[in-house]
Amino acid sequence: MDADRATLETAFPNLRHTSYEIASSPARTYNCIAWAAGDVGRWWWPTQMAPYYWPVGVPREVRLESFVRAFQTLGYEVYATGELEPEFEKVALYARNGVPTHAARQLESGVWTSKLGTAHDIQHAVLAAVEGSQYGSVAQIMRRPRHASTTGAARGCNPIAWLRRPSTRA
Amino acid sequence: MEVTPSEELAGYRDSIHRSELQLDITDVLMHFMETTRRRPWEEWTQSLEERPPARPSQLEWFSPHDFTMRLRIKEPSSLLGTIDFSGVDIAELTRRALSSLPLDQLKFLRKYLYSQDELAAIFNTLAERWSEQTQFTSSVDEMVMHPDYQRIIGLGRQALPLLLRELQERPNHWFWALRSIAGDDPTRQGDNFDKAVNAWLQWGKAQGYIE
Repeated sequence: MDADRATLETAFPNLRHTSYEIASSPARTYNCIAWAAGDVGRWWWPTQMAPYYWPVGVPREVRLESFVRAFQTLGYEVYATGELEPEFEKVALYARNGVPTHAARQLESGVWTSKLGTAHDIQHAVLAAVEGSQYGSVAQIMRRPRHASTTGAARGCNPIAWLRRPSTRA
Repeated sequence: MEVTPSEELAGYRDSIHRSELQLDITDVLMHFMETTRRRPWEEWTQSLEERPPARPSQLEWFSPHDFTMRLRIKEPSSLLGTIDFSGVDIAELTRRALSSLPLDQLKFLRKYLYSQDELAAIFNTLAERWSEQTQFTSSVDEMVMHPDYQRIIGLGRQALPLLLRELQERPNHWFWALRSIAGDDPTRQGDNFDKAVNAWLQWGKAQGYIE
């Protein structure tokens, strides 16, 4: 796991300065866009060929507008900030030079969850944790009402405590 | 010490007989037929009959049926794909064809065909580096446009068995490369990753590229 963290922190230097956790083993069957959309069965990308999935009716173009529209099909709306609003579920779209690269989803604790390509899922305290040369920066945040069954501190999460805890790095 | 043309020729011929042709003899034969012997099939085979057979090589396993099937897969629209090879000793025919190749053609083949060992080493280096350098990307475009991925596509048909074995042992996003090289796509719209892997492995088995 230490080797995994070292690899991650080389690719995403901001992780060295924030709390994060590796939350899963690597998986090549789904990507960050799928993970942000709540789908672990497919790899979302706007290309024509199988096995890549893109919502019906959304242009298969690697442009931010297409990614925004893809999440709009799931009920998300364009929104401005990544602050925690317990009644809303949020996703952040990243872009590098205007080209979409990544998506992260906010958990009810306020922590963000990211699937990193074919590698791990991680949970990170701040959106900037995975900003940098790999993914660029956050280009759009969207939100939708959080479903009643998944809202609140049902899992016992305390976002303030999680965010304030010391780094889990070895 | 200066190498004579005949020694050089023998060296190339040995090299080709020893390794490259086991992998993809049809490419060699078709190249030979299409670039150096543009003449009717019967005339061409008859001309080969007049040539001395080459020494035994490692091509014995190559059955006419297998050869015919591969030709039809590779070049379905070509004249070769319509020829009935039943009853033709393809291995012998191939040996004769190779023994008649001029030196410059042998050099050409040597230049553009890798030995199995060379190919495996190159493929493994490219595949490993590609996998490492693209592990954090979600972008299919970035994955397939990566220089190492493009080089693997550039290896052509010779790389199909390696690609399929890689897919079998370490499933990854090789679909684009497979489709580009094979000119085929056994996946269906709506397939997820696992189904696409299975579709390609079934295809590879059906074509005889993997077991």
